[in-house]
Amino acid sequence: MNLKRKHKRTIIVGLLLIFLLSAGLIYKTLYKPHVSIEDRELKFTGNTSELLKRVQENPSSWQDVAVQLSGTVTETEAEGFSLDHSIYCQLDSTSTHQKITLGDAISIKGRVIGYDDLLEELKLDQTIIITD
Amino acid sequence: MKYLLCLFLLTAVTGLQAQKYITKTGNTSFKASVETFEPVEATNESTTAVLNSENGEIAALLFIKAFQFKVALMQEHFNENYMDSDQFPKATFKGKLVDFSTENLSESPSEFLLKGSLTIRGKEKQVELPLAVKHVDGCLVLDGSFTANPADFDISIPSIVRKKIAEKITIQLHYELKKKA
Repeated sequence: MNLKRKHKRTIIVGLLLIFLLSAGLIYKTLYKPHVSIEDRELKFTGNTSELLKRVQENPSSWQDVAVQLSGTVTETEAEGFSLDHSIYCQLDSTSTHQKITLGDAISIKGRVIGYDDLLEELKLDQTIIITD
Repeated sequence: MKYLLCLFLLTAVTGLQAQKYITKTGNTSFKASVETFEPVEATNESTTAVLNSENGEIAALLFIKAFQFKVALMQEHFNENYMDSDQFPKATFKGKLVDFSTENLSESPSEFLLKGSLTIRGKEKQVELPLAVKHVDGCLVLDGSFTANPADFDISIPSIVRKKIAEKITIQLHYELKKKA
């Protein structure tokens, strides 16, 4: 009798543990966080003209990829800036940034979202400025 | 005198040139939530929009992958299963504000009818919506919303999640256009 009760308890506790574990696992898969730009693997590192050349060769493979770029700031506005008149970088809204001025030579990390044919420029978002 | 004439002609010509208002960071969001379920909504803060203030023509473009969801997994499913954004990376709009003129614009919104064609997943559809236009600090601020039907763009929703996604999707836009220098 006593032994049976002991078994019952172990089974209940075991089931409860399994249930909790799987619930936690499901929650973790369903609500996994967004990968931040800092943690993303780079597909390209280099200058703006080289990237544009690569994008023109095969535009469809250059969506939602992280790149590191160096170039000169040719236009600034509140939410972003242009590099070498050809690439628009929208600043990452979740982090703070140093002030950028026209003519600065800078390095950035950002996500290519696609080629904007209305304004004929490549568009990046989640841009962060790399300081070394 | 000659110089003056030249100067006059030059200003006249530049005055005639179309005035363009542009944003690269327009806000387009959609809601397809059903009460009591996880909200299905996302925002795209990188919409490009160009308005020709002479004739009211508007062109807009956004990248599907730039839609940001609260839940990362939902964003993945949206891109892979519903929008096929690898194959159809962008949505575009081309249209015209009916009887548009910048003359009487002020900080309080004036309403204009926007007519045009919306292309999502390679499917084109005519849309009409009222657009509120304001003139604030040299910017033209456009606000509007309309509803779309996923089936019009061949977006199929599996029956298993049918009850969790609204039949009609509300799309909202807020663009602050700056005059192009």
